[in-house]
Amino acid sequence: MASPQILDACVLINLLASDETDGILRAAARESFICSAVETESIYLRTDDSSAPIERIDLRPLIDARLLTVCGIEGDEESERYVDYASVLSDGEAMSLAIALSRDYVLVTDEKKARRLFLEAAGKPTLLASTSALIRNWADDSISVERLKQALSKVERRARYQPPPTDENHRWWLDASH
Amino acid sequence: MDKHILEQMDPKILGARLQDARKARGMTQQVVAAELEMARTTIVAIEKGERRVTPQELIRLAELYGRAVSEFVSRQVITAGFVPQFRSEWREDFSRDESLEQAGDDLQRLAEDYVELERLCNLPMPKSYSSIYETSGSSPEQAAEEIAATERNRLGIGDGPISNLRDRLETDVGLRVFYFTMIPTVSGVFAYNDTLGGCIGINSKHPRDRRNWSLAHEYGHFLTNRYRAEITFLSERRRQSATERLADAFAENFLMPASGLNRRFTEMYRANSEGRITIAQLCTLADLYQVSVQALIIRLEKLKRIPTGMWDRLEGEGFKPRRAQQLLGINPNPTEQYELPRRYLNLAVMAYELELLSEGQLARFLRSDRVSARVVVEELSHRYFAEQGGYEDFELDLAQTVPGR
Repeated sequence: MASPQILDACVLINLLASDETDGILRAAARESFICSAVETESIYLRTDDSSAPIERIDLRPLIDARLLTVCGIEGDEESERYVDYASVLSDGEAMSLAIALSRDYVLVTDEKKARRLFLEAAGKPTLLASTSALIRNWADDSISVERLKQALSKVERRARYQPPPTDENHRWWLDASH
Repeated sequence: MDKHILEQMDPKILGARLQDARKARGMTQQVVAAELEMARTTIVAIEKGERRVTPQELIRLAELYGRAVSEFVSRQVITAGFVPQFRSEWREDFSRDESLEQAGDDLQRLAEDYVELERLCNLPMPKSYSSIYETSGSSPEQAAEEIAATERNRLGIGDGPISNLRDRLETDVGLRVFYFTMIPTVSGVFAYNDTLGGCIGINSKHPRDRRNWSLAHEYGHFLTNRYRAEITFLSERRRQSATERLADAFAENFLMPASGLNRRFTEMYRANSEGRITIAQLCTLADLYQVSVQALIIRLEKLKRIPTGMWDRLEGEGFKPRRAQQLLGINPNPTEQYELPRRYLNLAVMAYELELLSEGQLARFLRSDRVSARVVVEELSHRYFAEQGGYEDFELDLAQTVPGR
């Protein structure tokens, strides 16, 4: 099986907004982790009705279904990395980065600063993925154009995310969503 | 990273932060030591900065105190705490009500974050502080009237209503003004230190006219008694001291200067062919000055434009200002788009766009969840979510420099 992946909160929010998290994680064909700091971060999504209150997301069903595994910091090296990165990132981002670097996991994040720090430390772009990469991988798995369009539209509306022009899948996303 | 953060940080600063967090959690050193299976003397040494904390110990301590690890290692701005200032000035109140400490702590954290954003963006707050006004030799009310007139003149406000007091005090004076939730009996807090400057916290749950009054009141404290941390309570009984009378009188004169208010009142009087002023007109005038109907009527009584005791009489007759405003279509409490200062938000978004802050850090600075932080970025930078779906761009690069002298 391919190296496990660890999802940062910014990506997790996008996947949850798509309502296709199960399929996207299964299509990745690798074990998916979130760190304990991301698990405890409250995740909210916009609803389709802009006047309605934002919606709090419960991760428990995904964890119970073993689509996501929660992991924590282990050992001195990870602890040291975590604390170092916590001086320049949020706890969830810092913990995800420290774990990915220490265990050679794929780091799935859209966060520009976290990606830059990861590349500086790991130097391996192949161990870096993004929301668009995960969704595109899922879409390649015989997903209908309409279903993909709906999923992307939900990410844009509910998580207010669209990959930036620097993202390698930016053009693909625009073409698929409109 | 070249050097580990815990080796770079001053252990005394980290120790003090850990001590503050422990106390805020209401835990003794003994309890913490037992939880972490360490000697109490080790906790004492860490808090004093005599022993460096290890990464694993810091992670466990943060967890125990319910704080993020980043809170201890990311903040660069170091200042003397506001809470001890409040505690020394308001000892009795602090012992009665622990939630007061929260207001002081919130003010401090917001102000420190503000200075941190300025540091990241290299854009310090321009300050135009007046020197502290001397108030001895005259009554609080007389002193307040003179100071209010001088300040209006200094700030170039003239004698009309002030449309956006909060923005003006931030832009023209350089005060840090935050709206946040406090216990209902507190309307505002004020504190000052040399690093953070003048900082005012206003109870965001109060209506706009109350908030405006509180803001002017706290500004009065800043102008006359800058080095004393203040808590302003709603209760009249608590507001009888000379400093409180002065701050209240300052708010009255600053928000409703006699010359401008007299002129407007006269114009209203003349405009009415029957030579009468109606309650509706008073409500409209209060809305124009963004003060409560009660504050306006009492001010007009003092200026002898309406009979003394008018407010008491109306109140006795069951007059309900909010109901009257509703009937007149006046919204006494328009919602603020943002509770944080505009400049603070702009700096946070700028820092994010420049990759000086991550999304998680941005959300923490904005006191919001991540998606709400994304919406703020959309609104304040270059993108917005179109009604018909999809993003549309309007280019506005906040980090772009503009030539100027």
